[in-house]
Amino acid sequence: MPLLMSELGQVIADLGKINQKSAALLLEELESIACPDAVKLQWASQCLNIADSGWHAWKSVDVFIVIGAALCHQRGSDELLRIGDYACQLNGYSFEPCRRYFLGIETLLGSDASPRSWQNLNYIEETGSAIHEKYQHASNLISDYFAAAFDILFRFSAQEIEAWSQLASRILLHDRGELLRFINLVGLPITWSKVMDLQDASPRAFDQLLVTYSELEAKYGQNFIEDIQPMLVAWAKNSRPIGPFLDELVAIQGRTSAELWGLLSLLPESTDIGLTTSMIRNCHALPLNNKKLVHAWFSAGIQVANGNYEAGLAFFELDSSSSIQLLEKLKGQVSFADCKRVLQLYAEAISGRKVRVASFEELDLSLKDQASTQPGADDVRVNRAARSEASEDYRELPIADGLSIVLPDCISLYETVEENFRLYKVSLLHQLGYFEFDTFDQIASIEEHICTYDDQILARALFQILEDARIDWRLERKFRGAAGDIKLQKKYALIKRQDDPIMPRAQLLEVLVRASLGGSSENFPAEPLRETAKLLRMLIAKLDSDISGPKHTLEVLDDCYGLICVDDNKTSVDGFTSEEATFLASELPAPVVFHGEMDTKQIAENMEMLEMEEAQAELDDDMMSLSFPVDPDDLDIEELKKGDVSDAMGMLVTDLDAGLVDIDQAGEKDERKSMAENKLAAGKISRRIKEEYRFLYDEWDHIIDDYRHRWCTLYESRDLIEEADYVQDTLTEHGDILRRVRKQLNKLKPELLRKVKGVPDGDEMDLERTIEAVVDRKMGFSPSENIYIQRQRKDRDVSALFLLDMSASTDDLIPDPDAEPQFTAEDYEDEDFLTTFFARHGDMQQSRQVRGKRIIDLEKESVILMAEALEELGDSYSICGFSGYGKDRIDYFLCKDFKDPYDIRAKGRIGGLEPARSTRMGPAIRHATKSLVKTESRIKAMFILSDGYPQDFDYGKDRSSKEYGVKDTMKALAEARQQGVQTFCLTVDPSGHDYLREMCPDKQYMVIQDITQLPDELSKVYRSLTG
Amino acid sequence: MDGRITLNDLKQIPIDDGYSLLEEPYYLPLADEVEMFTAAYEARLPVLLKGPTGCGKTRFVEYMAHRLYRGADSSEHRRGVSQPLQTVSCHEDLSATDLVGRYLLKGEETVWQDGPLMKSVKEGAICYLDEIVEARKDSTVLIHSLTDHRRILPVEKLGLILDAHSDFLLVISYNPGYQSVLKDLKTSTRQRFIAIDFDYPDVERETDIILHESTVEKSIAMELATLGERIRNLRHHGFDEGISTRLLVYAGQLITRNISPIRACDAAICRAVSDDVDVQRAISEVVSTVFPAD
Repeated sequence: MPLLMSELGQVIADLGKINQKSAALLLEELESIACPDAVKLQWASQCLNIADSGWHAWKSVDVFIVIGAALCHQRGSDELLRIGDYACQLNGYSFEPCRRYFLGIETLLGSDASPRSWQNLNYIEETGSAIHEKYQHASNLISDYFAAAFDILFRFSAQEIEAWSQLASRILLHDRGELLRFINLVGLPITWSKVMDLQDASPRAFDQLLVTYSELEAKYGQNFIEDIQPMLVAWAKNSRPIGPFLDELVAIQGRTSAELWGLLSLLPESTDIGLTTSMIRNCHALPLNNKKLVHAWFSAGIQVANGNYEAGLAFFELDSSSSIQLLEKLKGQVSFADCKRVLQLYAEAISGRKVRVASFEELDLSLKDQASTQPGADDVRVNRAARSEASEDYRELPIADGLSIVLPDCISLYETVEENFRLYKVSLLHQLGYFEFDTFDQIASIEEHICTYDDQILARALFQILEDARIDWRLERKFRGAAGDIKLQKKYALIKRQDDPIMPRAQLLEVLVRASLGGSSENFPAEPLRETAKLLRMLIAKLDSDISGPKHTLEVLDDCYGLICVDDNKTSVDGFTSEEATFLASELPAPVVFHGEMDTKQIAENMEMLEMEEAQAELDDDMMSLSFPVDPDDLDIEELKKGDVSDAMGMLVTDLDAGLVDIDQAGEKDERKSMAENKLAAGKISRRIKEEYRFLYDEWDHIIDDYRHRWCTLYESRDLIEEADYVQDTLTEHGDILRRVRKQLNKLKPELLRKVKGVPDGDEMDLERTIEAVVDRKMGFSPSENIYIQRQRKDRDVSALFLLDMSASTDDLIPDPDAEPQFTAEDYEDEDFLTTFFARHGDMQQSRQVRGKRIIDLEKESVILMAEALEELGDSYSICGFSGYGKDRIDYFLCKDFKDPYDIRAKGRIGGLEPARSTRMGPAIRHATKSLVKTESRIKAMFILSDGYPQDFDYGKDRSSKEYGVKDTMKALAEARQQGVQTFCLTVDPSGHDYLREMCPDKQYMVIQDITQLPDELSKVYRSLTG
Repeated sequence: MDGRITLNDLKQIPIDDGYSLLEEPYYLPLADEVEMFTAAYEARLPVLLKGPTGCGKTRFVEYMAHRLYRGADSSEHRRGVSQPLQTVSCHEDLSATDLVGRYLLKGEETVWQDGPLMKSVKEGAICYLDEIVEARKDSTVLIHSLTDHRRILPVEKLGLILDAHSDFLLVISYNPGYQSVLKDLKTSTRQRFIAIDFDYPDVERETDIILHESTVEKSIAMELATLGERIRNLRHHGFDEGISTRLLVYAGQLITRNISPIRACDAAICRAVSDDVDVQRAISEVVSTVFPAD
């Protein structure tokens, strides 16, 4: 025994050498601990061991010493020593893991932990050892583990603890980062045994879940994750990565867990994760509250996917036409795009003026185009975002700005197409009512009147309510047919207005809105506003007459404003902070969806601008006659730059130099025009969307065997750097070819048969003339011999469109078989630069001589020669070029439209066609077909001049495959054929046979071996196609 | 010409009983066209009526013919004219023979048949050539000698030159809207007439016309007129003419016979004016804006 005590003393002394305080603490605790001395010695030795194991290791010993007595008391000396032994192995590189472990034990001791918790301790100890073994140096990781593990130990059942520990030990075999993620999830109420199924199925899938778990939990809650767990497990078992799906779930905005689970729970178990992910990604477009509808839609989608997976993907991505059409049909949704023309015509019929009707989608695209140059664009988008809160099924409010009316992209508020269309109609009619009943005519005086009020926000809000009410009433009185629809929409809007505002002002405004919708509840608002409300109702009712005009609205506005202001000042609402009260005081009633929004200020500006624009148009007319005869050579470019004026103005300046115009007069015009231009440059949305150059086209995807809906955006433009001399140079250079082309085309016979009566020979007899001849003979006159009818070809009714490929490859020089190769690949690069340089300075002639001919030059020359010949023949023709980069940017340059004269501008534009980017043929052909069909000519022919296969960086998923582009082009050509357009592809690509054979219907193509033959060949083809 | 048939022979050919204009046709003057026409008639100046289809040109001529030939101030001779108005709807096969007259075979004989123009010239009636530009060139040239100071009608087949009766007047109509440039009236022809322009009436007067012609209720007549006014805003969308008063009257007549307004307008207007589906739909929407559903 003394020996033991001396050993113990030695141990304490040794400990004291490491840390005095620890030794003192141990000495103290040894006295209070109730166990045999041998145990005490062992414990003390353990403490010494641990303290001696590294820097500051005494810190963990201190904890061990403190818990020693209690541990021994509660769990016995064996457990004390076991824990000590276990802790010893944790020591080494850092004291922290060990300390954490002891702290965990301390918490266990201090709580009312059940004996089961102590039993479960071994799970976490085992895993702890394993982690320690694998990542000895990762003390933080191990410490975190123990912190988390003891947390788990407290909160979960043995089964969950075991599952958690097992998961931890499995994960640690993979990846340290994953383990850390796992440990960090400990605070969440996760059912570990369930999560373990996923880990069983696929450790990788499990990690993917870990990555997004906390975000998913925060967004949708624990239950949702548990609900989708079986799906995840099923996918994981099939070795499908679940990461993208989970990422989508995290990314979705504005959908609740109930809605999403409602959707996901409808899916059959075997639904592919790719399809599900696509559907989730687009679930904002699905009416999730209508399960029957969604079920019908995705059932169809799954059927599509069973036949063709890619098609299924496109279906669920809402890319394919069939998917969108089905969904719209099911929703009874009406898209603006589908009824745009009807609405446009309707607007014109009702208003008697060219009001442009557009959708927000168009507005958005327009804004995108011009966002960089127009500072106001962002504001508009912000406003839109705010408005989009308005209603689930009617995301935008209609706007009229005096020049155009903007309507929602689609409406699905009601179940049937008919009802939704009616809402479109009523919304549009209401906006047209502003034109009909003089609001816009008198907008300047209205705006002036509103500006006289102190509280303009209130005045504007009041004006809108009153004016909307007046417009509706006048419409109802004037158009009995529309009255029913308007009343229906009013009723619906009234039902939607359930929430009563709090502040008196808002309440009174609400009274007016409800009165305008036909609501007259006596119970709203409460006293003391009831009397005022009654007066307001009486005031607004004055507008319900056959003759009320904006003037009456302003009169009622005056009265209402006065009443509301008085009440606003004398009534206060208790129970709000001053900030809340200020906020509430400025509260305005929610807009009535079909009334939309009116910004009198902007409308007034627009109307003023419209007047200026009309004045400018007149001015332009004046100036056209002046500017026309000016020789561009006379233009002083430097001077123009200084003045920063447009080309037209430049001509005016030259006119001045030439002394053609009286100086004072020109100066005045200069000023007027600049003013108008400045005003226009600062134009608002409506001015921007007025120019419509954008078209959306479907694209055929052979993989999904369906069209991708509104996939490509094509921009039609005439904006080319004009090169005026090109045409003349070509004609000078190729006089002989031109003669040949003319000769070819002169052989063309008019193809239209016309009955010619009164000819001496023919297919049938003209009865009248025959009788006349008989009568004449009887009368003794000499009868006429011209008694036959002949069918003669007299007319030509042909429209031809030449579509030029402007892809970058047309910049290549035409190989001259006789010449030595002159350019290396690097030279081309430099040449590109030179070309652009010369093109910009309008001196292409020089560059052409410098560098020889390029494919594009030949294309241009061919059509120029054709154009010259066609001018004589009298056929109607159009010349266009196309290029682009990606599906969202296909440029279509209109050099000459069918109705355009072949004038200096058109010629300049043809000269200005230059190689640009890629060759996405499909949309260009579709657009060309559309314009050809519009001509209504009997023979419609399209000639496509290109130098290679259709290609673009996103023309099909697989960039290396030509098939997608070829198939889409083939489809576009087939569509053209269906619409009565004959197509012919001419290519200079020697490998053209390979794909043109497949692409062009009825072998309507030609691969030109000797490229210089293009003009000749083109005229021959023209002859064969239109002759 | 051996003179086998004389003018006296011709006079014996009975003039058919026909359109005698005993009742006064309804016509609502829109401007000073009545005074203008009367003045022109008094001076025997040929008249050209210009205007879109269905705006009342033919009705106007009928009205004027009645006024001049059956009115209280009409001369004895004019009242005696059995057919004061000879209307010819011109078409592309209409030849000079059709206007002047021709020999017909009757058994083994040939019989001369006066054409409407010759009848008018002889009798002193008004000859109205509707849509003159449609007719063949030879027929337009034929009227030249009738429309200047000569007032004569050469009858080639008979080898005659007829002096026009002092009461004779030539009226032609011409619709500048839909006829193509190719079929424009020759300047030499056009400059022989005084021109009176016609257009569709305003809503109020069109209401009166519809009311009178279809005997529909006034409110419906007014709505029909409003409808016409609105739909005419869509000229240039496949129907350059707009919708005629005549079609509105038709719709009104259907309505009086218990066809619902929407259905009547659908049949008389929507389907009649355009084949463009979108235009039809837009018009239907305008109709359903003006008239309530059944």
